[in-house]
Amino acid sequence: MEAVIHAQNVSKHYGKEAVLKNINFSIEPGKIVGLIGPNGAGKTTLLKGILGLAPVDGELSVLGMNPKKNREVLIEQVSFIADTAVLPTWMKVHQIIDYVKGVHPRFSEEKCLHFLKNTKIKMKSTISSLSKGMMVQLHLSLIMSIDSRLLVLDEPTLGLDILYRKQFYSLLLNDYYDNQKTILITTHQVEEIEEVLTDLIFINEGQIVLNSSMEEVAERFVELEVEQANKDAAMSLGPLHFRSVLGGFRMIFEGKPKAALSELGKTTTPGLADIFVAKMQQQVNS
Amino acid sequence: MKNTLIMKCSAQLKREVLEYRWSFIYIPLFLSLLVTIFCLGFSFYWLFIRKEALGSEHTLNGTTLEFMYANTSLMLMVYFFALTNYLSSCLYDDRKSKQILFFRSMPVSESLNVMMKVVVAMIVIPTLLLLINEVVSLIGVVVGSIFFVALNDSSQIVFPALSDANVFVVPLQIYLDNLQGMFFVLPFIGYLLLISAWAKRFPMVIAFGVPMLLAFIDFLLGQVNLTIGVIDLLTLYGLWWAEIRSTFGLRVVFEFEWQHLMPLLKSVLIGGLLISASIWLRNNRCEI
Repeated sequence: MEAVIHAQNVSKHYGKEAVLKNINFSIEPGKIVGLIGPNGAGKTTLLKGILGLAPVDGELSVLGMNPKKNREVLIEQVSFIADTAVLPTWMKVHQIIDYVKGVHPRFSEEKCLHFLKNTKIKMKSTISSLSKGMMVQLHLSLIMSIDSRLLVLDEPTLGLDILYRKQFYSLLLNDYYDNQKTILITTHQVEEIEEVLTDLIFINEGQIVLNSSMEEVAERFVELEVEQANKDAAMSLGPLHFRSVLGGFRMIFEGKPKAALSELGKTTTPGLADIFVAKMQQQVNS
Repeated sequence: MKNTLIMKCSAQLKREVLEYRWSFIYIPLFLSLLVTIFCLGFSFYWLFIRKEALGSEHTLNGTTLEFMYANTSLMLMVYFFALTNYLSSCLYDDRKSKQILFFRSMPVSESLNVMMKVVVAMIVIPTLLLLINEVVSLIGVVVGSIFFVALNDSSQIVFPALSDANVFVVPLQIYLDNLQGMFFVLPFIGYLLLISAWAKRFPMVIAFGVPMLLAFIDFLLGQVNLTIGVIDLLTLYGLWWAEIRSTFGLRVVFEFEWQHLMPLLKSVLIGGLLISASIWLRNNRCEI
């Protein structure tokens, strides 16, 4: 099966500073991939490269095309929401629907009106009069009405309250996603997308530090809760991350057999946020 | 589902007009309304307060044409400022706004985007001017007819004027002249678009400040018999405009002569190069 995104030795320099350093990864169709990294990790630069908004060095193909050279054709099959509140505020809701209908060959007005029916957004409202949450609802309705093969979301829920954030991902999963579509999400709110993802890429300082499916993550990482008595024994196994908690210690291990660890204390599967912190710290220490 | 290029162009043009509706539609309409009110007030004063009949040269057609020409002169100035502002800022403003992220998520090439801005300048604006002129002429004919009827001059009522139709043909003539004239303006359009695509700050100041500064330097150099050719270039371009001045609604029908051919070709060539450079910059500068 042809990869939706294929990156080989992708690099990007701003002057002498390397923002992306020989990145390699592939994303298969039907996946929901989280691209997660701290500020300045290179996420947005990588997304710009994928969307053909900025040139990158190395080999990068999206849906079998060079995103920079074939941007117009590519964008017919790739949708993106980059940041919240980027809709033109001087337009009215019905005008923006007309505009997208005019320029996008894969847009369905019928679908869009169906999505909007479940919101409080009125056709005659100007976009500037909508709340930030409603703006995101409108943007998502427009984007979900495009029959695209790849959807790229760059911090799509930044600044939204918890209700809108939950609704956003629920809509995305229930009304948009199917196994023919691929979604690439970057966000800082790791916990929120944890349940949604099929795959995960951690990026830091322009390098990929983890590229794995969620099943592999569950098998590969173990969180161990140990008491003082077993601390040294656990530390000798080389935890990725270690922290003190009330009445003991929590450690995250990578690639260690669960059975061996469970003899020292209680083992669980760590949350993405904890794995993220552990991997980032590992890179700092190395 | 099948979108044609025409649909894309139409959606882009609609977007441009909507985004700049204040400077392209509302302000010109408001000013035209002011001119209309002023002209009507003047006519009322002349006919009913001074109680003087208009001279024999003041036919309905003639009066309405005067009325329309007054409006055209004003509109040409309004649209000159509106277009200058539009062209020098349209490719700058969207680089500075996050809204560009939405427009760039749509399958519209930069070539189409920039070319639609050229179409706005060369076709949409003259067409808006035509529509406003026709509306003003219609108001002139209707209101003028009422005046002439009030003066018991039945020969000047609306139907003879309409059958003559001169008042509605002249705006069309102005429109066609403007369309031709815009080809000579193409270097100016291309120049402003290039500045708009290139400037990191204050595009309007750069667009007018840099040539003025260069002309001033040229003037100073001229004092010691040196030149960098800026004044000559600006003078030459000014002369081209003077050649076609009749095309801008100044009551003389523009007739193409062979001597216009070279300036026309040069204008199209230089304008085309500047527009191409703007498109190249849009494709190769990634500020977002």
